[in-house]
Amino acid sequence: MASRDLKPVPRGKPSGLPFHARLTDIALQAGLKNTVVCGHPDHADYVIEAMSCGVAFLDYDNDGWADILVLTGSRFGDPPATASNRLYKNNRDGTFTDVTEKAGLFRTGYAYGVTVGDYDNDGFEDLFITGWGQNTLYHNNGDGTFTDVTKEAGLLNPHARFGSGCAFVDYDRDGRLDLFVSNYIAFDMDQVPRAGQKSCNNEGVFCGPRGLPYGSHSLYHNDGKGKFSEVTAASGIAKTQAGYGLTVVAADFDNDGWPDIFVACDSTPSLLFRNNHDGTFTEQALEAGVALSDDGMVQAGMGVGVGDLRLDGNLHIVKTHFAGDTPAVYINDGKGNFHDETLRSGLAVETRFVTWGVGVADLDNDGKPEIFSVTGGIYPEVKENYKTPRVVFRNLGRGRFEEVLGLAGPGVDALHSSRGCAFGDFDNDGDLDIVIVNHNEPPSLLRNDVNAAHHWLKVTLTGVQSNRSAIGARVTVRYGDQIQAQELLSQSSYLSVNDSRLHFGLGSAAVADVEIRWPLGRIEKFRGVAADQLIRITEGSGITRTERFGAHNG
Amino acid sequence: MKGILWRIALPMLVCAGLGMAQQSPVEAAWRLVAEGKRAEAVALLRGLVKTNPRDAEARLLLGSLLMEAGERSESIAQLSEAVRLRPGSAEAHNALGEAYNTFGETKAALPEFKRAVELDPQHAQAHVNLAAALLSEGDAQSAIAHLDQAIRLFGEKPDAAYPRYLRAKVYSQRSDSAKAASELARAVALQPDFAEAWSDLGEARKNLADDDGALAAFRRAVELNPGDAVAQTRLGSELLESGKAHEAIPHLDEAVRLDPENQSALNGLQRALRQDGQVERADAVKKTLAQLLLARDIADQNLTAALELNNRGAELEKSGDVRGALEKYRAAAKLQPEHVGIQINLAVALLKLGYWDEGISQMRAALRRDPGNRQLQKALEDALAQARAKGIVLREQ
Repeated sequence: MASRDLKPVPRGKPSGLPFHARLTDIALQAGLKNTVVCGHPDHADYVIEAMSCGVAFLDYDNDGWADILVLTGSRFGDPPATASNRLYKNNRDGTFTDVTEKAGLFRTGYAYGVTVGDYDNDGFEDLFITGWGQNTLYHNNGDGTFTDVTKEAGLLNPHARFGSGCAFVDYDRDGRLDLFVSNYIAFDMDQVPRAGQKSCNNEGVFCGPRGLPYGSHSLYHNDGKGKFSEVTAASGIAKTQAGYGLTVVAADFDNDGWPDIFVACDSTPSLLFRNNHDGTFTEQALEAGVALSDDGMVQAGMGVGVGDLRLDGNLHIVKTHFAGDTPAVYINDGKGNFHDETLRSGLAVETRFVTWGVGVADLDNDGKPEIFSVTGGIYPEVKENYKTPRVVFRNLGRGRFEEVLGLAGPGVDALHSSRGCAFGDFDNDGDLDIVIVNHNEPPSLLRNDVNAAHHWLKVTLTGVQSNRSAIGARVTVRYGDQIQAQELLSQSSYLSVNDSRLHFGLGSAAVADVEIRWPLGRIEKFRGVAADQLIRITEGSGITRTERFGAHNG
Repeated sequence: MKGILWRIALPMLVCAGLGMAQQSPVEAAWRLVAEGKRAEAVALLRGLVKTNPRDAEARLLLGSLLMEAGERSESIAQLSEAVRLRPGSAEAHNALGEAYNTFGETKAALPEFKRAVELDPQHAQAHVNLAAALLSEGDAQSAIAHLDQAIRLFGEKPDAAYPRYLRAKVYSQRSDSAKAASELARAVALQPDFAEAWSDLGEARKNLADDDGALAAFRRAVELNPGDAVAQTRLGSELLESGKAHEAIPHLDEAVRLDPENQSALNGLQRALRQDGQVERADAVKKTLAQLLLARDIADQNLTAALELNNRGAELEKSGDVRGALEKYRAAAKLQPEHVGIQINLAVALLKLGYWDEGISQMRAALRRDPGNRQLQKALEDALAQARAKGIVLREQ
């Protein structure tokens, strides 16, 4: 967890513009009541307790409403018997029901990352969850229950590992979702000093990641029939020094139609595995300009947001870091060459917080996506700056952002030690809400209320030749004089998964043109699509369903 | 350093000019210094001090010359004596503070500078020194008043450039790039050859999104001091950011030559070379950078693992399992062969188990690395005495 001890640059003159999104935490009223356990509230013995976990919006029962999966950790020496990952079923009335046990997902231990995708193309979203010890593949049985099929799928680790990031990705474009898993450190409790021993620091806090051996990353090929085989060496992934890998994002950064894999790494150079189109990858983060800060320093890469920050049809990257550092904004030239625009983008004004989950999300539906991130200290012993607020940077256009201070609602200003967050529209009202993991607290569910007459469009995709989840599909929407690209990602933020219904704020535009590039390359275009609705597009069959939600402005 | 001596010399030379038609011995020493004959000056002053131990001026100059020669003990001794002889002299306190500061003893320097400004609130240089010491101790708040006072006292003299440069650092720390840029602009106006101020001015302008201004300032910094790796890196990086990869390359190359482990320059260079189409060289530089980063991580990992092994060895030793402890210490020493603490533990475990030759050899090796460790010296002597008493013939004597 490297800090560059960077001072913030001066904030410019405030724009004075109103902010039309108001975020309110309604988690408790909504029934998200279970505490996410992450070590002891007042101390952490090992790094496994501090890194904590992600969260997912998913529609596991295909009812058209976003359900929520919240991961959890545990506590060294005193593991609570009820600390489990929790699946909350959406009751379609603003509340949720904990269906964890019924769904067969009760599991104690240290979970970190999640990816959601239909790996067997049976029409139901499956889950892969990383953890310390073992990762778990859960097959969705289609009846509201899941079955742990890790062993049968060939994904059981021969020895305990510290799995962190994970992403379903059809890297060889065979129509089946493969799986990439990052591992944070090689963690053996018998070898790592406990907090308080002076082997690795004098502050008495937990040890790591610096000073501990790197984890290593794995790629698994989906062979069909529910089986995966490890291709880490054959694909070239093993050639790279892994670093301390965290969030994984698989996306086509160089617009060549093949998914690449970006891994945010903590205190080591981040990694960009470029897809060679032949089942292999070449790691090129340094060449591409996304490994280090603009001044060549390693950063504590935790979370990754990917989106079209510049509205130029390309996927840009926002990466979050430790306190004393800025988030990084990497602008993509469309060929996968990135330019660090942190300073010019306006994000270098904020260096106060340890920042984790992050998303590029149009919170006020004005057609220009914001950057939202959650923050929180890592050492519970250090009370100062342990619980910190959420951060919103509004998009001013032309690549410039402005931190929104005190205008985005009480859910943003509230203090928590947060980790993962996911973006989705849980109440189907046409805006993006946010679910957030908080250390040793229940999660936050920030309901978004947009108070402007801005339009929006949601796109949900079903692959046919491509993987059924359509992970890796690129959707480009033209509205007014703007263009915006989004890709369906199976992990981003911090070890988390967003609602698979891609959400586009359209500002004042009442219609939009939509272009889909499916994972296997087919391109479909739809002109003059009316705003304020969800459109379901099935590969090769066009728009197969539309749905109008409640009030268009949410 | 030249500045320090000149500040001491000026009042003395004035005294000499007014009071004596004939050259005084201290003045003669000064002339030798001016002629570059420092050794002769030191010899002359040592003679003066020997003849007249109460000659504070001689001690002051001698202490300052010795400070410049890096002779800490005698320098501090002479200057301390000068302070004792002239407790009311701001100049003496300031000189002693400067000596402490030169030898990295900021905490000891601070009270001397504080006393100097108490004795003479108009002593601009003492204010600057005090502020610089406070800044290095992280007390920017207290430093501000002294910097502002020094700036007022120096007025428009070139000497005001340095406190303005430091004042700008405080503004930068507080994210006030506009005020930092303003102070730095004044600093370079007062002292146009102040390379570091130009370099920092470039940074401040960069933070203010004044890319052209930043580039101009970095260029000037490099013109003035091409041997400054930081300025070369900043210029190269700014050129690269401005899309001038080809122009950036020589500056980044030079930065790497000056400081081969400069990550910023290496990263900028590999990117500039790539943009310039020099892919093969870019790959080579990238490889160097990757190896550098990896080597640092491996060193950290080895250190942590070694310390953990050492701790576990200590636990075993405490529980009476010296043989088990020895195994851990050996493994730890293999990872960190130069770590004195591990070496001592290994030596003691070896001696406890009767491996006299190897144990004493380890102890000697540890003492070579930490020659001032009296406890270790004593332990070695004890071990040697015991070995002799037991009639053990050691290979290494």
